[in-house]
This record gives sequence, structure tokens and C-alpha cells, in this order.
Amino acid sequence: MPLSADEFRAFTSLIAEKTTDGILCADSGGKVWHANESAARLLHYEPHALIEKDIYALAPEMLPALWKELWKEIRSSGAFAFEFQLRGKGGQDVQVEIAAHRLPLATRELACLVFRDVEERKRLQNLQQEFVSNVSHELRTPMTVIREGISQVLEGLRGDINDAQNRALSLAMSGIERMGRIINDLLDISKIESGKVPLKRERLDLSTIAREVAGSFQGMAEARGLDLRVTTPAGTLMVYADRDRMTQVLTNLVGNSLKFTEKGHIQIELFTRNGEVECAVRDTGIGIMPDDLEKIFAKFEQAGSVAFTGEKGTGLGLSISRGILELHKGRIWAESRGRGQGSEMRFALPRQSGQDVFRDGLAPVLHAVARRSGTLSTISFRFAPQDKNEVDLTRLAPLLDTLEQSIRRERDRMKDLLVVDVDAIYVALESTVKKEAARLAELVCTGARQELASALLTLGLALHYEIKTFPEEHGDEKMYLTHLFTERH
Amino acid sequence: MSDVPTPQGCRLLLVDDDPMIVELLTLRLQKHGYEVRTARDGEEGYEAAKAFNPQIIVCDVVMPRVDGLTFCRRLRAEKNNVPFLFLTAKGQPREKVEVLSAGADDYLVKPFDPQELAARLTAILRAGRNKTL
Repeated sequence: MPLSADEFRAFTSLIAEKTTDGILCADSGGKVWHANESAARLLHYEPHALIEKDIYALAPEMLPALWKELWKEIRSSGAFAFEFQLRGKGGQDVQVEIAAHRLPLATRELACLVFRDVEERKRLQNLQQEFVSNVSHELRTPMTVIREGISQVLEGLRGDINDAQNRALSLAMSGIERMGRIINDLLDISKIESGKVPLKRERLDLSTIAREVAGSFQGMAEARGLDLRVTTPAGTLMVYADRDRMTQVLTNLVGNSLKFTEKGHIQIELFTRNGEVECAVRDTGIGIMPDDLEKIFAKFEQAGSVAFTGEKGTGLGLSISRGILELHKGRIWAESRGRGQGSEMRFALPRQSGQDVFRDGLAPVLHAVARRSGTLSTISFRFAPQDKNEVDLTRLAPLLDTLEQSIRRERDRMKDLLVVDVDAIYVALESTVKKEAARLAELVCTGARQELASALLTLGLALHYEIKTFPEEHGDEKMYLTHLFTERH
Repeated sequence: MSDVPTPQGCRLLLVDDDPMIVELLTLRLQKHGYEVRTARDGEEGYEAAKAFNPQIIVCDVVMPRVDGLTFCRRLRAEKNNVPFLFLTAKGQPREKVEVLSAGADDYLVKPFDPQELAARLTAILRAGRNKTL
């Protein structure tokens, strides 16, 4: 018998109380009228102690204007999700993901905030990553034994074998090799998903990478009678990205296209659109069903197709690619008109400025420094024209190289953040006070000015530096980041 | 070119606690011409290093009693510069730094290609020969 209306009400109120998500209901004035057990637990309050509290007291960053905005949003679209900081009873900050819903009642309307501790999710993700990484490592040793045993028989080290035995063992060997690739990919994806992959973002030309990747597949394409070509706009397509990771993504996409294309061509096209650099890998292969366009990015999902090369992938390539794009604040998606219509894999990378990339990289470092009441200095080294002349930025590349080398010589610490811009280099130095930063900057500049003397003269350039120290300049993290590149007067 | 070192008759000490790995690698290395002696952990390995006086050592990292890193450091502390190659299971940057700074000459990450092991051993022998010349 289905639940009666009363039974259903009992059921929903049980769920609302017992769910592990915290739930707060508040009116448009910000007063809390209901909180479930989990809300009290997550915020370290006694049950019921949250009733009639002000939302502004529970969320220090929630200003009345913001609360008003939130109401506007849920009234127009019904729901709204965001990440936010709530404050627990003891004054501790709790980082949460919130979904706000409009709850219309007979005589009033409330905002229902369903929230979840982000730290808890991250902790679980770390546990999972650790588990996957332990399992993978444990699998490596027995794999070595299996592989070595088989290859000794295959090589005849253990006596002669016949063709049928050779065939069976060759199959076993390719199975083991595939297992090795899966284990490596699993390790890779678990690292990417837990955010443990430090991206080495540098200013690079995506066209060059696309051509390199195409070059590495050219032989295979020719052997299979496929035409593989790259189309790029004139000039360079500069993005801030991790070279190895972008190569990995493109290798993945082009490799996939080759596997699922029997005849015709594969084309890599690069272009800019709406301030983003886009890359499309198009093929005349078997195509993708509309229902599968999103599914293929899930782990171990292979859309049930068999490759023409007979090769089996690991089922993780596209998940890894998506993870890499997300770390770069980019996107990846698939397009196809269906079976037999070919497919198109697309990705887009934001065209960020060097200053934005530096700020992105600096934010977590700065946060950690602020938490332990530490200090941090950033130095901006900049090549500026002596007079009002314009500088040909393309001629600065070799000068920036020399400058970077000279910085690395003085400060050979890999964990220090360094971003090369078109005319400048930004460095962040942890636990470095202003005086020490100035000493380093002076050393670097003196060396670079000597080494580059003639080039600077020819181009009419001077090398300057500016230092900003936290917390000396701006004690507040956000203020520090905002004013990082503004000139001091 | 009689100076090019060959594995022929070269005394090799293999230290690993996994009897399967030991059995398989012993056969493989013997086929390459090495004279192989084996040990099950760093303690046994240390004894064998004294008695057998190997010209090259292949060693696991994680082992009971005395691990590979301790074994390697102990040899280096006694100014024993025998070429030393580690077999590691993890292959993470931190571990690579660890094995090399313990005094190893090279390392291979499991599962490794046996051909690569043979090639690396020859390369280490060659480098060692050049150093002493």
C-alpha cells in the first residue's frame, strides 16, 4: 500500500531531521525558524539553540544586501547553490556547500538552506585517494612477478615453447600491460580529483603543442590511411597551462579519434572565441550517440564501441582529461550528430593574464601563511620602456628567459611560486620579510642588468622591481591580493 | 674495446624479501652472465656484501628487519662505493629523492621491464668503470 498523506508527512519530517545535511529555515529578515539536528551538530550548537538566531550571526560574510540578493535569486529561479563560510558556536569557521531553496508556506515564505561540510567531503576524498593509491602500489609487486614469469617463458629462457603456447602467453602479456596502464591511470585520476596535482602553469603556445602531438601520431595515421591535420590561426595562441598535462589531454583526444576512425580524416583545429582559446578534435569516425555525449567522461565508460585498432583503452582517459581541464579552469565536452556521423571533442581554456594566474596560485599559499600568522613577499620584476615608446613584446622573450634563470639561481626553491608574464616575472617568497626580499631582488636585478646590458640598451628598456609584503602592506588577505599589482603612490 | 664492462662473471648481490621476485630475477640475471648471490633483507644483505664482495647490488626498498635504505646508508658510511640500484614500488618524486640521497646510483619502479633492468645495470657498470679510470 502506498503511503497515505499523513504517513508521507511523518516520513518527510523523519528525513528532514535525520539527514546528515544541515538544514536551516529562515525568513527574509534573516531570522532562523527551524534547524534540524545536523545543522546544530555541524555548527556545534545544542539542538533548538539555533531557533530565532540571526543568519547574520551564523554567517559572518552574509551581509543584509547579500541576503536580499539570495532571496531575489530563489524567488526567480527557485533554488541557488553556492559555497560559503558559516560560523560555529565557538567562533570556528565551517566551510560549507549550501543549496538554498524557496519554501512557500500558507502564510509566509522561508528560505530553506541545506548545507554540507566541505571539509568532510574533502576528508573522505583524501581517504579514497589514499586507498586507491595503496591498492595500486600493492598490485605492482605481484604484477612484476606475473610479467617477468611470462616474459621468461616467451623469450625461451625456460626452454622452447610452441606457437599455440606463445600465442596464449602473448595475449596474457597484453592483458597485463593493459592492467598496468589502468593502475597508472587510476593513480593519476585519484590525484587529480583530490587536487593533489600541482600544476606547473607557464605561458605557452597551444598551437605548438597541438603540432607536436599530431607529429607523434603522424606515422600511425599514415599506416592506417588516415589524414591527420592541424589548423591554427596565424601567430601564436598563448595560454597559461601545464605543458605536460596539455600534451596528455591532446594525446588522449587524438588517440581516441584514431582508434574510432576507420577512414577519412582527423583534424585538430585551434581558435579563439569569447576570450577563450578553443581546441576541436574532429574525426570522420563512428560518432557518439546523443545519450552518450556526457557519459563518455565518466570513469570506465566506453560507450560500448570497439576500436578499429582492436586496442582497449583504460576507460579513464577522458575523465583524466576533464580533471585536467577543470584544474585549468577550462571545460571539455563532446559533440556528434550520432552514430556514423563522426565526432568532435572540444575543450576551452580561459585566456587569463599573467597577473590573474599569479593571483590564483598565490591565494591558497597566502591563506596558509595568514593562518599560521606568517609572512610572505612578492616581487614583480618588470621590463619597462625608458621613454614613452611602445615595446615590441615578442622581443622580450629571451630577456625574460635570462631574468628567470637569474631568479632561479638566487632562489633555487621549487615550491616558490613563479609566473612569467609578457613583460614581467612575478615571484612569491614564503617566510620572507621585505628586507630579505629587497636583498634578493637587488641581487637578481644587478646580475640580469649586467647580462642584458646591450639588449636593454638596444630596446630602450629598463628593469624595475616592486615588492609587496604580507602582512606589512595589507594585513587582510583579500586586500593584499586586490592591490598586488596596483602602483604605490 | 676490451675495456667495455660486460656482465660476464660480474658478482651481483640481489636483495629482496619476495622469494618469487628473487627466483625470477636470479634466472634472468644469470642468463645475462652475472654471478648472482641473494639475500632476503638488509641484514642478510650486509653479511653477503662482506663475504661475497659484490661488484653491483640490486635491492628492494621495503623489507623486514633492516630495509634497503638503511642497508645502503650503512655501506656508504663504511666508504663502500659498490654500484647500487634500488627496485621501488612507488615511483613518487619524494621516494626517488630518498633512494638517491641514501647513496644509490639508480632505481627502477616496479613493475619494470627486465630488459631495462639489464640495460641499466650495464650502464651503471660502465659509469663506474669510467669513474675509476
